[in-house]
Amino acid sequence: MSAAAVLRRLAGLVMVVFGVTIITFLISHVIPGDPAQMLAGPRASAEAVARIRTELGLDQPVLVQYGRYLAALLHGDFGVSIVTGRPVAQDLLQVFPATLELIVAALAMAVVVGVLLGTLAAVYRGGAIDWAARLLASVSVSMPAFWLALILLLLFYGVLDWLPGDGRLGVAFDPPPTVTGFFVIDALLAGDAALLRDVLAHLALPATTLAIATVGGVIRIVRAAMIGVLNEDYIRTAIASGLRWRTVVFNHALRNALIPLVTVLGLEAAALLFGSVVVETVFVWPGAGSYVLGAIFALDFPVIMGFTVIASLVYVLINTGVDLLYRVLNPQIGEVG
Amino acid sequence: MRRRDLLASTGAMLALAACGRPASTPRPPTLVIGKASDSSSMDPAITTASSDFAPIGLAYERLLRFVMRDGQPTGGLEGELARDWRLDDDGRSWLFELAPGHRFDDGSEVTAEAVRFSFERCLSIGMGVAQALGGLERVEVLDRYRCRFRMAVSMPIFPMILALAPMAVINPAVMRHARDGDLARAWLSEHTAGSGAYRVTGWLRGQRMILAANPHAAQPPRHFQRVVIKVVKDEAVYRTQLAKGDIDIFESVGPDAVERLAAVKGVQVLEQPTPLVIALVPNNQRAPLDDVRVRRAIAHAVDPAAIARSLVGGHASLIHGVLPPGVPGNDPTIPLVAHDPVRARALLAEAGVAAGRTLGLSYVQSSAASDAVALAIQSQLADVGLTVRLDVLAPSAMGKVRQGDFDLTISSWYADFPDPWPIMKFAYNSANIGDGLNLARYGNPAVDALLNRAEMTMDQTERLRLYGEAQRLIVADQPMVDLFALHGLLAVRRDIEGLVYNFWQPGVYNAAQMTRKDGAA
Repeated sequence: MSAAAVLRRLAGLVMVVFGVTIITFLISHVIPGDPAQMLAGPRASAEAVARIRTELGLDQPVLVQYGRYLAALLHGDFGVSIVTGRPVAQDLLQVFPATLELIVAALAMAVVVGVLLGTLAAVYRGGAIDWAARLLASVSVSMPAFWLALILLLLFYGVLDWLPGDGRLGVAFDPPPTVTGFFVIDALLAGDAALLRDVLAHLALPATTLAIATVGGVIRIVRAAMIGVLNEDYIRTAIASGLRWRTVVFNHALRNALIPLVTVLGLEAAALLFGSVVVETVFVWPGAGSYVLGAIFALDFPVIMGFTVIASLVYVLINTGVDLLYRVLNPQIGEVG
Repeated sequence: MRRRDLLASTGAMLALAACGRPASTPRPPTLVIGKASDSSSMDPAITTASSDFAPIGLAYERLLRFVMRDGQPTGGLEGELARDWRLDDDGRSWLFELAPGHRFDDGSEVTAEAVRFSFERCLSIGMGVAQALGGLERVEVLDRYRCRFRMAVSMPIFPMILALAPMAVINPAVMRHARDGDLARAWLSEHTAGSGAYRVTGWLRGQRMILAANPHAAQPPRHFQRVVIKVVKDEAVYRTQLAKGDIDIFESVGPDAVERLAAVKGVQVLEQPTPLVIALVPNNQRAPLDDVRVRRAIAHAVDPAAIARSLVGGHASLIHGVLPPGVPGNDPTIPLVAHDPVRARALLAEAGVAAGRTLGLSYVQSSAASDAVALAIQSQLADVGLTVRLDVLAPSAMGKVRQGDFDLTISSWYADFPDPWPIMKFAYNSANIGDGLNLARYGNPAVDALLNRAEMTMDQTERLRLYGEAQRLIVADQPMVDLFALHGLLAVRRDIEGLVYNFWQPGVYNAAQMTRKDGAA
């Protein structure tokens, strides 16, 4: 991708995030509700509520409030939570890595298992592996994530006692020194094997739940794409020319079959960013979903705005990453967007 | 480090780490409390939510505390930081004398100056508990251990208010953490600076909080050197954790979970009435609900006993009058409104309300039971010819109800301490129509006069007489239909001993006095 194209992409990214801030700010400020009243408490006098409203700047016109917010945002200041008084940026630095760690782990598991099973299902179409893969895909897409989460929890925590049932960390451990916010990486960097084991053990059930919920789509996409690619002339030519079957499947066919998967994974990652809240709730995973849910109920505008800005940024970055991956997987694909 | 070495060591670490469930590390005797939601802030001046009370209750001391009996406050008070208190000669201010020897977690002593700092900080911030300190002008330091709470008006309930969990005395040294004039709000939202038996040492937000013993506490823990407060949201999860002993207490037990929990070996469910009143609230200023006959008809049409039985499994008390059981002034001689649909239809006809008249029921889905209560009311009012249209509101949209844009709503009232004041003042005084909690928009000048007099009357017998008189007038006006008062439920492992729990102030634990049977950690 040329430098100009990269610049165009970045400019588009800024515009998207800017647009998101306008829409979110306006919507969150015109819906009925008064954060000052919620903050003051139900028994507060009208004067007390009015005073808090003034302190928070909520008595100013929405455009003035937005201007102030944007000016602060340009300096990296997401504001202060109305409810807790803590800087929003500080909270976001805790909750986003937690959610991203969960999503990355889940997607990694789903991709490894899904690509392998999808490929084998296509290669041995109609056979036992194909049958098993399609069954798994059906179960995956039809099973509600919360139900699966409870079943895994009761089995592996409640009955077998193999894995812990909640949170990112056992009570015997303190979080690793923050470098990335991903506990797995930070525990690795800290060189603490016991801590890493605890972190992995806590990650296992929620990540597996999300992975199972995601793997069905991966299997179906890879299987369908592989079936299409394996019937292409160039694959028959490659086989006829004496190339090893494994080389044909994994080096030639799979590479092309992965292109639609990349699109799907981009969408899945974005969906998980907002949709992991159910799994986060069951496993008490202190991620972004649970965090923003509480803020929405409390009309905590700075938190809602901070979450939306970061989430939209992540969303746009994922899409940009998908575009770049297209070109890596198939350089013949022209520049997208 | 070369790339291959890095990969090898990472792989080795992951392999080592992946070898099964992590081994438990020896730890000091630990009490684990589970609850459904995390604290939003640990600053006592900010919070009003009982979900924030656990760390505040453990890490801070208050001037006074409630005397408890069988999970209920008796109405009596005893000193926690204070060793003596009395009404001042002006008949409205209060004098307090501190017991020496109480120390904050940095070793500094709790003095009258700390009391002044704590309450004036609270008034300056003006949020949360400041709403309960309306009559307080300032705190005057008389000497190292004595101070005066200078009141603008007589407030007989003021000592009760001082016993509430957030009325904590904070170490003035926190001001070194103040930023941009925030009175250390940001710092205190995630740290504690009290003289309680514990102090917060770690908070993994949304997951768990860890408190260790305060080495300078006047009353150090008898057994539990550490308290962990965990967030557990799902019933199946907390039930499993209780059964396995991973949590000792769970405080957010729903009525539908009681039977399943009671069947768990080693776990008991404690239950006590609380003054949390759930009510169907008609808009007394909107036709046809401005007619007392229509409100009375609705009261006869609704069957609170059936709703309590089917929706909260009977874990609730019906209410005679407007004050729930346990609140002084509760009058069992006031008869319950009979469930009588025939009488309801007759009253509606008398008031000229045509059959099929539609009324909106605006309510917030605060829990799974909200919908069920709304549906039950809809069904019972349909039996007497009223059509109810359900209008679900976002919690933040309750302003619509406060401003009177509704026909019927479902709401709740709570008495934080054993006195009629919290319910009578906020729910029935017309001064609280609009921005206050008088959602029914009920106004009766005679009731207002009685409530205003009772609020200022220092003589407790006379106060209760005035409240009793007001209660009878309110009952005659039928401004609301009190459905029931919910019971408090707490799941506790049977090996936990010494728990004294105030069901009126959920989330506050006497962990320092608790032990585990046989002394196991």
